[in-house]
Amino acid sequence: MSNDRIRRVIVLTIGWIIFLSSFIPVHSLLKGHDKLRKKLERCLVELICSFFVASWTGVVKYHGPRPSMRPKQVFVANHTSMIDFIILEQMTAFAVIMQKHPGWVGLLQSTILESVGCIWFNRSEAKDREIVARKLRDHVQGTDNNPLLIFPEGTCVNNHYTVMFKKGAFELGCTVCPVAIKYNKIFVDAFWNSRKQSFTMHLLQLMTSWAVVCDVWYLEPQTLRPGETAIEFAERVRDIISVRAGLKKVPWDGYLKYSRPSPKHRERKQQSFAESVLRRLDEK
Amino acid sequence: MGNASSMLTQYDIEEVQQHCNHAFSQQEIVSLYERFCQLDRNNGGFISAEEFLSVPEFAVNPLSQRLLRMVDGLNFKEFVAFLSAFSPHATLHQKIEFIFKVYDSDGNGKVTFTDMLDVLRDLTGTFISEKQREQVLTDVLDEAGYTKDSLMILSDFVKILGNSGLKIEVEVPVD
Repeated sequence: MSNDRIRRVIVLTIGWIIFLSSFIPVHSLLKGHDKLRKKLERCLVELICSFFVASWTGVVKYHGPRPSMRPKQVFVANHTSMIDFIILEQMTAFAVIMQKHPGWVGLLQSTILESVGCIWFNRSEAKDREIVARKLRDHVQGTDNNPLLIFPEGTCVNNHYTVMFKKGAFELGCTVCPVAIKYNKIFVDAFWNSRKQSFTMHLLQLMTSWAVVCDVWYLEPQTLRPGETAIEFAERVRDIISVRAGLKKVPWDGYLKYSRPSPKHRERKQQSFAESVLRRLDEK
Repeated sequence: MGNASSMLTQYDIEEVQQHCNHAFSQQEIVSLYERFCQLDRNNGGFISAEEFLSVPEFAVNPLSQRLLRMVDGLNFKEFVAFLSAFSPHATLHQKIEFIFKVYDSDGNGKVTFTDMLDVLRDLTGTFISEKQREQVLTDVLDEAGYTKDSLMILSDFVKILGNSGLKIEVEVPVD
């Protein structure tokens, strides 16, 4: 087992050496030639992600047509762990919308991920939603930007269920391409329980497990149907993804992982019950 | 049962199964134990009210305070016995008994008009007046053949709810 671990660390180290020795020159020297620089940076990001995946002995089976770079489209996927992003990124350099993390992950986010065009948000900021919605819209309109990947659940979920999708990704007026990811639990439980362990520990745990085995399905692009609201659209796409990956749909809000539900949720239940009781009373 | 963070032995599982009258299979008990340990953050061997309220669905339930009173401080064996009413294997009688216990907050085996009014208040909050609540309850009791002063016991509940096609079931996910 320890030989295996050494091999993985070496793979990852080599990957980082190659990546940094290419990325830093490319990023600084090609400052004027944006198109070429972006193209190279994209390839490099895909490369380092492949190294990451190899360091966990990742066996990823991709199904469906590989995403193409077209304007006015976003990709949505179910979310189990930060590694979802790395697994998808090794195939296609997506731009992604993420929560800024502390520590070395945050450093990586600000430097390398900036190059693929990432959007940051902060869960705890209330006004943040409008700002983020605007940034999303701007990104999708731009023709030169990398395809945008969004995890509409808003948090990591245990890969048995899908929680409610946030409608932000579905009201941008573009095609939505669903991506379903399912990890094979026999090899390792890829769910990153961010309340229980830090990302570093999670990565180390992955590196010391047998393998990370998963299936990725690129599914048929969907557009908003006439008369459909954004929320209905989101639910329809969630259905497509859940069915494909064999996940159970639950009606919970992912953000409840971080904060207590506000009293208005309870009040809403009381209100609907009160209304049905009053209706019966009126009927008499 | 010892420290909550230790593994369950076959003997432990059988003991729990016995205590809940085989409402759950052994694998379901193992899944419930995992969930119990997850909720019992401070490893006290029981789930406190605070820890229960960390479950969002529980926190938004208008009856959560009543349920908390019933479930506070239960160890794992008692917890499984408490949940047995929700098992698909539980009889209708067991489910009605559970509902009766929710109404009978002082546990004296009798449910009065005031008890039922209290539950109705929890369920409807500020969205209906006290007078309307009393009216609704009086009408409901009247329809079932009872009066405001009737003291309901379990068999009364069974009589009223027996044919209602009541369904309170929960599926315990098994790995």
